[in-house]
Amino acid sequence: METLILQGTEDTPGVKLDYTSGEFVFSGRSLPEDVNSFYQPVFEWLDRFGTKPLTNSSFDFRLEYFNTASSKVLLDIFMKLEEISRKQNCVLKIKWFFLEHDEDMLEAGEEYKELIEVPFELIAY
Amino acid sequence: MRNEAIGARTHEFFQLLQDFNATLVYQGIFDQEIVKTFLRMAENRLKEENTEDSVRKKLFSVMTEVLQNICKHQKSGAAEGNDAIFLLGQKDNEYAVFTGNLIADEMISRVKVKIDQVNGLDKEGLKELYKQSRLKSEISEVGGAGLGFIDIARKSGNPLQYHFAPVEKDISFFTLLSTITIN
Repeated sequence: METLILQGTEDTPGVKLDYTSGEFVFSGRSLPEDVNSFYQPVFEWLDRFGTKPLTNSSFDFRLEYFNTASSKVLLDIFMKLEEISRKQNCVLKIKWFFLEHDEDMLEAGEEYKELIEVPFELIAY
Repeated sequence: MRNEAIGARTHEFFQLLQDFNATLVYQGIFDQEIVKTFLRMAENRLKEENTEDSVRKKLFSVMTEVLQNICKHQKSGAAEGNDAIFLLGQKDNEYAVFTGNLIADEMISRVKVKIDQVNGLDKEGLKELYKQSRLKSEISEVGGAGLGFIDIARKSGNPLQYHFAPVEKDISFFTLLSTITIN
């Protein structure tokens, strides 16, 4: 399973999907010009991951900002993880990090948590 | 153009900028690079002024949605290839984010309905609408999820103000003003 690493930029998030080390992290800002083309490699990676998932994996989201189009894609990512967990009968966790005083980010995490059926942890830092 | 005509119109334009206490003004084609540039400028300015983080983030969110909306609309329809305008101002304890672009008249009622809907909702209502809309939404051909106005209303915390001015046959000029209270 290859690793997908994308460096974060002013408008696109850092992405680290490393099967070997078991680190799965999204960080930074997401406001790409074209969400579909940016996140396509992520969905392709997730499809491959789904054929041989690492049980007990934690997918960490440390986002500072994301636009509305990204908000929709994030929901799709969470639903994909939920689907993998269900179909392969494995434990996958999502960790949603938010800066302590960032109420909007906390609220966004709570809204996702309500919809998603895999363990979804909200962590202040 | 004769100087007299320019003079009178420039003064009106100047007064408009004064009304907004404009710090950023741009007219032209909007692309992702322009969006990044303005976001960077606004962020730096607000950091220098020691604006509270939460207010800075709200302004960043509103500007992103508003500017990316223009980018998308300039890719098709009445606004394609046509200049749009953006203005950022700070006056009377508010940041003002103002945009103007051409719009086909047949789109007007759709836009009005959306904005009127978000203006009529309180915080809880907006949250519910956002959640429902996001579940149903798809990413469009021009890359939007149709959630922009809802997000702008939530983050700005104030009603969106808009106007449609007829320009020529079947085309109007749509202006949108979002305000963010500073403290």
